[in-house]
Amino acid sequence: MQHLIDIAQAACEAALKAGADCADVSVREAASRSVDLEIGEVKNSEVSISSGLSVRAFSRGACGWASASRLDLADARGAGEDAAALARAADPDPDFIDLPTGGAEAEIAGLYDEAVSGISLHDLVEFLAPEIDAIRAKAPEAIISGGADAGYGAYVYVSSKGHVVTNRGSNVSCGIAAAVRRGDDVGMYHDWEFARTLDRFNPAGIGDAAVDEALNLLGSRPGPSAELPIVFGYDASRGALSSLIGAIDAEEIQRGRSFMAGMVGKGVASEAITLTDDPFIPGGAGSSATDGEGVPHRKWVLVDRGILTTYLHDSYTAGKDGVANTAHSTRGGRSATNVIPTLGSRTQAELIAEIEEGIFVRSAHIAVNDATGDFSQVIDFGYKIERGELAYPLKETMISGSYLDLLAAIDAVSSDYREKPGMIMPAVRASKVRVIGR
Amino acid sequence: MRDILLAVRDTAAAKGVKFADARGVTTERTYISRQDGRADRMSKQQSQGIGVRVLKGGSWGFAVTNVVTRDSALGCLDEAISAANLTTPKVDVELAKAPAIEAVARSEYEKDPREISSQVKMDVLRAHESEALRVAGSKAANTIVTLSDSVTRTLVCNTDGTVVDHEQVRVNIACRLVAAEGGVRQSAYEIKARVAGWEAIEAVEPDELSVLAATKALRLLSARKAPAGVFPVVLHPTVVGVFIHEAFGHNAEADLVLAGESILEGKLQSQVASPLVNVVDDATLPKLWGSYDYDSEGLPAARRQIIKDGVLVGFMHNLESAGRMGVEPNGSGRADGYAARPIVRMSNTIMEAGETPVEEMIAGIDHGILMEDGRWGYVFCQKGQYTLNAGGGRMIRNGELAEPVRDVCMVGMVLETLHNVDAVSREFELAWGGGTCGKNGQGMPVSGGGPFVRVADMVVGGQDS
Repeated sequence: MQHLIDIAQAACEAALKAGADCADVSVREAASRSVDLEIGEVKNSEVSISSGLSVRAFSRGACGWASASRLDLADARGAGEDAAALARAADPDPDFIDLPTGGAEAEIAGLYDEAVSGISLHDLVEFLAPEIDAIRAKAPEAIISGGADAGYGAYVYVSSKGHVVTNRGSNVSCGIAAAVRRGDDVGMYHDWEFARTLDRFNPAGIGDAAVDEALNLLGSRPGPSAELPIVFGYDASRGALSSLIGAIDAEEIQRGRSFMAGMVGKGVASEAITLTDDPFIPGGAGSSATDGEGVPHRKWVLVDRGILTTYLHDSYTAGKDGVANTAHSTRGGRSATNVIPTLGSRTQAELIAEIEEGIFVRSAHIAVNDATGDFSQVIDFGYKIERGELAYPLKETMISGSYLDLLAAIDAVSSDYREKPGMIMPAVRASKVRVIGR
Repeated sequence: MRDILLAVRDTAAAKGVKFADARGVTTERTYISRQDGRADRMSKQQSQGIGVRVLKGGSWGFAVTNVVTRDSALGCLDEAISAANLTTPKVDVELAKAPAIEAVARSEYEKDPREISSQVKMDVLRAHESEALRVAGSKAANTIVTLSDSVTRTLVCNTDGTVVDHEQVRVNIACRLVAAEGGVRQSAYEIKARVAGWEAIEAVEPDELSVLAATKALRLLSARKAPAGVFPVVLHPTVVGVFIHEAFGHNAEADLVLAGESILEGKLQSQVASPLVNVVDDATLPKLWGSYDYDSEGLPAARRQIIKDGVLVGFMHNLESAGRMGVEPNGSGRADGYAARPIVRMSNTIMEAGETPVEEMIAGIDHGILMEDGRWGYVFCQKGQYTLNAGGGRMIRNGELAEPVRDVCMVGMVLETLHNVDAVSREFELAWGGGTCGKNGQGMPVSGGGPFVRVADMVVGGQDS
């Protein structure tokens, strides 16, 4: 790790020497292995090492960036000098106050596992093999695709404020998809597993989940055109709610680009929705002690019973608004960490059973127009609900409307959920949405 | 770099490898932007690295390094060989036989963008921004104008004797403007992108970029929400370009066909579309964003006829897919940098012009929609369901263009839509656009275009019942 710190500090010092008022540097060194499947067999195996550094230099508030892929002192100093030159060439920015200072960092367990560095390509194949067999057992004709990968790395952040942050991370993941074709009819689905450490990695069952759903999705037909209740299932609710998080990026608000302007302290969803951003979940996919500028994270309730409590800030946007930094910097952007919905009191099955006619979305993401807050979205994988049951799978069926109206129409969050590290994924039901079919 | 790669090739051959290639890629990229009246971001990136591929039996091993030394590269070869030895697939692969090529190529340009000062670049952005703000006036909520240029040199050599050294210079300039009035907010985006030097940026007038973005954003402020339902639609060339790339083009990538992941499997020489439909993917078109001289396997770029009179006549191929299908390779193996392996990709995917005047096409619709400003889309290749997004459009009533409508998505089944094409215009437009296509985690510059196309009906997901 010390060699990465030395590289980062050399880049930082070079930027200052070249005339920058302040600077920060991030350096990473990472390795990964992966395998890809084609028709259920290993087609490609990859071994990769990667490294890089990026320098931000500030001059009269203006920012210049430079990056390099090679970690040697000469390239690091060159990047520092380039960043400073670019900053001096840009226009001054009176809204820039200063780079942030650090603080006490939390200890978060389960983010790095030495054992991941020992995972071989053969091990990755062995993760997938039983899942491939499981699919073939149920649907010998299924087309099987997917892959597995394992990665680990070291990361350093250094700033001219004397701030040094170091951490290590690892991850293991695999995904598998099954497509079953019966004439022109195709049912297809996928499942996945992810963990930061090997002891929490358990892909058993993803093959069964993929093929079971693929078989269920055969016989799809166009849906109705009507205003109907909708249930976003475990795999869909995260996608449905994530557009809310993207729209509360403080820069998007300050620049006049987001439909969520002026909404802090106001209702953006029904009271059923409380969303907590928790960076401290052990082994969580988004967990980390600090943000991208080395500012210690904290837990935030972003939406409290439907009320938006804050935008996502970094040091620059917080300074511009005169508010406290919420530590959501990704160093060039802003993002939440692990967003956890508060659960309800009834199961997904109960929420569906209460619907006479409606829609169930198995998997989807809602793409919302940032400026207008409107959405126009295809149901990629979903079903018609009739008399409290999933009646038939859908094709060529869309939902549309105002995203804020959809969030306001949410009347229940399930008590049960699907869990992955840092992700709690319940079902979410809205009482009505416009459905467009043939 | 050349000596290192040749050493990898020769060592691979000495080790009895069936096929190996080594690619060294060096990239310099700069990006500057102006936002709301000031220089916003100035950045410079440099990267260099080597990727080594080995084929054994039916599977590939691939290893990469950004330490450009002989030892590191040979280490990659050993890793790639070890990775290729991992399993023994049932199907052995014989790559297509391509003649060994030795070539040096440089994309044509007059002015190297690396030699243009930041000040000059910023002055260009300032001029575009100024014009956008003049048009948008007090309704401008946010403007961003950006300039990006890159020089990428790729050297690839393989155990079949190919050694190709090619360099590409790319430039693009873009403007996004958000307009707001009375609580309504709309945005529009325009980009001009070329495989060319700084002279291509100098040739872009504000009327074609920032003024156009401002004009569109302002028009959208008063546009109504798009209707919801099933309608006959006319697709503008920019929408056709996105459609033919996303909805159809991915299905015609031969690696997906061989993997059982395309609805076009088994359909060569079959009628897959209306006889009015002709589609090509052409990487040789001068200066277009998706063009190149040589692909990442060292094969020359080519024009590929995919659909002729509605009949599927070909796919896009790399060495492996061409070998497995027993056809000539056509230079479609592209990789996003040294750290990615070449896979089958599109370039400039185009529907060819037809015969019907667009006015006649519109006149034939009682109640429908002209979809304009193609933005994005995606497809599930195995089932053939696609999604298409248009930035705006016009209602068609009684055979005439009527009120403007806002952005909207549409959905369809690829082959049904292609069969439902009932008119193709003689008017034709090639997009200037700087699109990036995503596949297997790799981004690739592409573009497209076409005529106006009328489809008998499509599901339109508007917000207005």
